[in-house]
Amino acid sequence: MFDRAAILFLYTETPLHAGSGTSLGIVDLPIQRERTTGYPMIQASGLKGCLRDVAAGDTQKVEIVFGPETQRASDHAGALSVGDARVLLFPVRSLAGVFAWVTSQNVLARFKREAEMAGLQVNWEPIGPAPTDDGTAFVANGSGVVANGRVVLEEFAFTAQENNTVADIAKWFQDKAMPQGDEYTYWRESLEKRLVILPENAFRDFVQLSTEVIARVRIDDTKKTVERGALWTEEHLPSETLLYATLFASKPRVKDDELPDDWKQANDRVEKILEFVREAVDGKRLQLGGDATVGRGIVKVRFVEGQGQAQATSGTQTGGQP
Amino acid sequence: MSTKSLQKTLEQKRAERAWTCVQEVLSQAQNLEDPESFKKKYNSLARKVPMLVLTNGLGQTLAFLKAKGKNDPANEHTVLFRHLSNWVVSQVAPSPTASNGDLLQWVLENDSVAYRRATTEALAFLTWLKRFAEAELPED
Repeated sequence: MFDRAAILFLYTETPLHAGSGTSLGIVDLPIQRERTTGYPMIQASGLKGCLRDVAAGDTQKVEIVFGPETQRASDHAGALSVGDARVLLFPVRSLAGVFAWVTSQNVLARFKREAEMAGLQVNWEPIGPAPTDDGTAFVANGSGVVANGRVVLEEFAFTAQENNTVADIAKWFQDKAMPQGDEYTYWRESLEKRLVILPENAFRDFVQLSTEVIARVRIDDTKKTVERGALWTEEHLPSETLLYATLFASKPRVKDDELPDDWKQANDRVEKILEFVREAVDGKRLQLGGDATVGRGIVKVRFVEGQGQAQATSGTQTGGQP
Repeated sequence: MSTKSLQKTLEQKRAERAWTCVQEVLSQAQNLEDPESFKKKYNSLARKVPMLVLTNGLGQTLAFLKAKGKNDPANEHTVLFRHLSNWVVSQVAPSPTASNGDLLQWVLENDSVAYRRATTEALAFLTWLKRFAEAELPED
């Protein structure tokens, strides 16, 4: 099983298209979504591929952490397990304050569960309007997205209800989840004023209907007009979305003599695995998803390691494959 | 009808209504001077409208259809407005006589929660309408 864990926070700086293939719906190229909730996500395989790509350099370490190349994939498993990236804060157009970051009790509860599993301290309880209340939204005192007691997102209005916990949650995200660095000071500081906890149904509808839909065309080379049938639409996660993914590390799955020298001497080899990933990605900008050459999918990464052992390993191990 | 397939049944009802709407366009076209042009125009509009709802909102889209249709019963905007309006009102309004079956009026009279429900229902229906229009009607 796993010995240590971390959470990877991904902040989209440009629209991100992690595509799910073709669709029969309204948008030609939709994004990946969770089956049960319909929330946007990025599949672990895509994220892992990207992490492996940026970590490239020391081939020996990359193979220990991420597993060998495809031809020798059955030699041993990688020591790192990457989870799906899930949505935490989603930006929505707001009548006051330009945009709001929306989330829901359900998202917060799931995040708290996973963060604690990864060993992070979470000092707030998930809150949100009662499941029967579809017309109220929770905001912090002095919120910047409230006008006349209402929060108007896209063209839908909610009654604003001030709640002290919203500020606690915002502060936690400011400290622990938002990207570090001066260029993010403004964004971190505006989080409390922009955070809105929506009814669960409303959150679901926004992440389904308020994603960025971009039309693309192909131009006929000689006529310089759109080629017949060459107009399609692509769905993107908007910029300023905050996602998170869990990372679990276990001991290297190779013989001791196959380890690099500095890892052989380490008391805690699991720590070395996470350290390797941290050095490769923390504070970096990565490119995730499709349309890289038109600037899409730039994400700023923050790597937060859990304190002590991951809860997944507490107690005695009962065997089974990792 | 088993309760297990309730979700599927609703989708089937949407499909059934969308099919009826497209068949109605075919038969209405026969009484017009230029049947082919009407069919083409309806097809093109039906393919465009779901994206209009997604990007501009349901209210804006309904207002657009109304403005373009100018109450002319032979105009494709008027026909599509009626098709969309009838179905969504039948699904989300408490009584069939609500707002005289006019979805735009109903949306204006109701709150945000109702508006959001109407939007999701409209998109679900329009997905079918678009598909059947593509299948049954000629393209430009």
